[in-house]
Parts: sequence; C-alpha cells; structure tokens
Amino acid sequence: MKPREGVVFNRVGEELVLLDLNRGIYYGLDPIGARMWELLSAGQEEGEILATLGEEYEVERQTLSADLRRLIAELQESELLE
Amino acid sequence: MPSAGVPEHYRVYGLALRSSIAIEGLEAVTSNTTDPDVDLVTGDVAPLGGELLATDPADDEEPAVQVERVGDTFVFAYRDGTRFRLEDRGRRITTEWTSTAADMATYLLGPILAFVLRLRGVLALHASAVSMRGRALLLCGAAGAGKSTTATALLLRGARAVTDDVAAIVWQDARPYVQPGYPRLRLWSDSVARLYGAPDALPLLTPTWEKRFASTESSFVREPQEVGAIAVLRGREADAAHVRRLQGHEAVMSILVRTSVQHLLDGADRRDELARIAQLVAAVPVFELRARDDLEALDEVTTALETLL
Repeated sequence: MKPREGVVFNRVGEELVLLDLNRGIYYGLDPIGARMWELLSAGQEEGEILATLGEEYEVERQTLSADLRRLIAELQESELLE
Repeated sequence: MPSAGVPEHYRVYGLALRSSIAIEGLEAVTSNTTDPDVDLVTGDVAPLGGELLATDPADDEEPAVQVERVGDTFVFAYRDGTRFRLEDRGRRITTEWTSTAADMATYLLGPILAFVLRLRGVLALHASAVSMRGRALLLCGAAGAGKSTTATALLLRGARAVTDDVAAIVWQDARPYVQPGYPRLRLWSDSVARLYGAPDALPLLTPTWEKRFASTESSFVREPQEVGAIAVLRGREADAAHVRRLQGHEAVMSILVRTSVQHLLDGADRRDELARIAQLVAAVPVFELRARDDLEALDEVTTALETLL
C-alpha cells in the first residue's frame, strides 16, 4: 500500500493533515492515525506496523489491529491510499 | 475607462503596487520604483482560448467567475464584465470592466491580490485582522460568518484596523506577522444598521452592491503586526458566546484557505501552503468562537475576543 499520487501531508504537532490535490479535500488524523499513516506511507506492511506501534503505545495488539484495519479501509474508501 | 496618466503607487498586503489608474480606498504612497511587485494597467483582456479551470460551485446559474490558464497567464472573467489578466506570477495585471472602477477595485483588493500573494508563495488567509495592545487578532470564518462586523465592533471599542478579508502572513524573527491591507472595512447594510443605528449611516462601496464601507483611516496601522491569536467565527446557534481552543489538525483545517480557485495553484505550491498553515498554527493559538447573531451577543463576542490576546 502507498499514498495515491497527489496526496500530500503535513505534521501538526502529533497530528497530521492530508490534502488530496486532485480533489482539493483535506483530512485530519489524530496522533495514532498520524503515526499509522507515516508507517504506511513508508511502505511498511500491516504486521510490521503493528509491531512498531506495539512498542510505541501501551495498547493491546488486538485493538491496534482493529484500528489499523479501520483506518486503511477509510483511507482506501477516500482514495487516499492504494 | 479612464486613460493612463501618471502612475499611482500604493502599498497593500505588503505588496508595492503601481497602477495606471487611481484605486479608490487605497492610500497613495510616494515611490519612484521602476520594479513594483505588481504593475496594474488598463487594457483589453481577451479570452486565452484555454481550458476553463475554475468557476464558482453554483450549479445551473452562470458562475460568478470563470478562470482560464495558459502557461503562466491567468484570465479571471467576472459575470459583471470585469476581467483581469495575470502574467508572470501576478507581476503584471491588465484589467478592463463594463461596470464601475469601484467594482473592479473590489475584485482586485479581494480575490485577485489574494491569488497573487499565493502565487508569490505568501500565505493569504481569508481573514480580517485588528490590533490590540500591539498584537493582531485574526478573525477567520466562512463568508457571512461576521468577520468584518466583529472587526468593526472591536474597532469601535478601541482596537486598531489592520486588514479586511485578506490576511497576508509573513515571518520575521521566527514570528508570524500580518501585513496591513488598506484603511477600509466592508459591511453589509444590515451590519451597518446594527453597529451604527441605520443602514445608510455609511456610504455604499459600489453603486451595484449592498455593501458599505467604514473608513478606518484614524486607527489604521501601517506596519506589519505580530499575530497574537486566531479566532474562527462559527455557528450562531449557541446561547452564550462560547470560546474553545482548537489544536492540531482541527486548528489547521479551521483556517485552511478555501476558495473556488484552489486548484489553480500547482501541487507543490499547495503543499507548501499547507506547511505554512501548520507552521502558523504551531506558533499562534487558534480559538473557535460560537455566538448568536444579534447585537447583544456581539457585545459578548468582543469581550471574549479581547481576552484572547
């Protein structure tokens, strides 16, 4: 998975703003969503991302996994990720 | 249209503007520069024959503005016959109109120069600004949210005028400053009635529009003002004026530049603009303000805003 062409993003503190240049639409991500996006856009696979997040956040792997899947689905639906 | 005489020089939003015609509302400055930031002349503005890039989102009606781009040249064609051609990143602007020079000036000082600033890489927010105790408060919000009305109410309570509708942000010593616009605030007649007691207490901006202007010459600041806070005016359903601090992506998205010509900028320029807004939000607190739309609430709003700086 990778960000679609024409999607740019910027850190805002721990959060992130995404801009889809093709459609002129902005999206915001909370701190954990921002970190997931960074790892996704760096080309990491789901398993690697969960391992990294597991070290950085004190959250159960099951919860992280569900959150990651939901975010990926939302990003794909919004055509930000392909 | 009047023919060109001796050019006038102005300073607006930090831009040195040379014009072949006098522009109502602007204060002439002494200058003999041969290299202004923007050179405005009158002349024919023919269609470029290129693709229409932007129109207002209005559905079946004729759009308020249509924009064409061919290479580095843009043509803005407004429904009332006012046209602008921007060349060389807005360094040269040619205009013609069939309505009045005042209508032309309204477009020039609003969307046209805001677009020129963005072409030049300057963050231009859709905001008004006043200065209190030497620091500027930016008032953002959608059209009709009450930016100019609130700014005027603050001026009537002793604040100083900085800009109306276009807030050009520059950085000095790692701090954001807002550039002065020109010494006028533009108000709808109903706002004039609320603030001054009668709708015709102030003159009409143009003969063709229900917008009036207040001269702010006596309180206008002519130097960039350090930005102390940003207030986003929203919603009018709240019972009492309510202020909430916005953080992170919420703060960025609340002040993003939303215009119908958004996609005229190149991708790289828009990515840079997003970075500039993120930088601004990191340097200055952003507040959301919700209040009712009446005179009593306006008093509460100004009191609440005065505490933000």
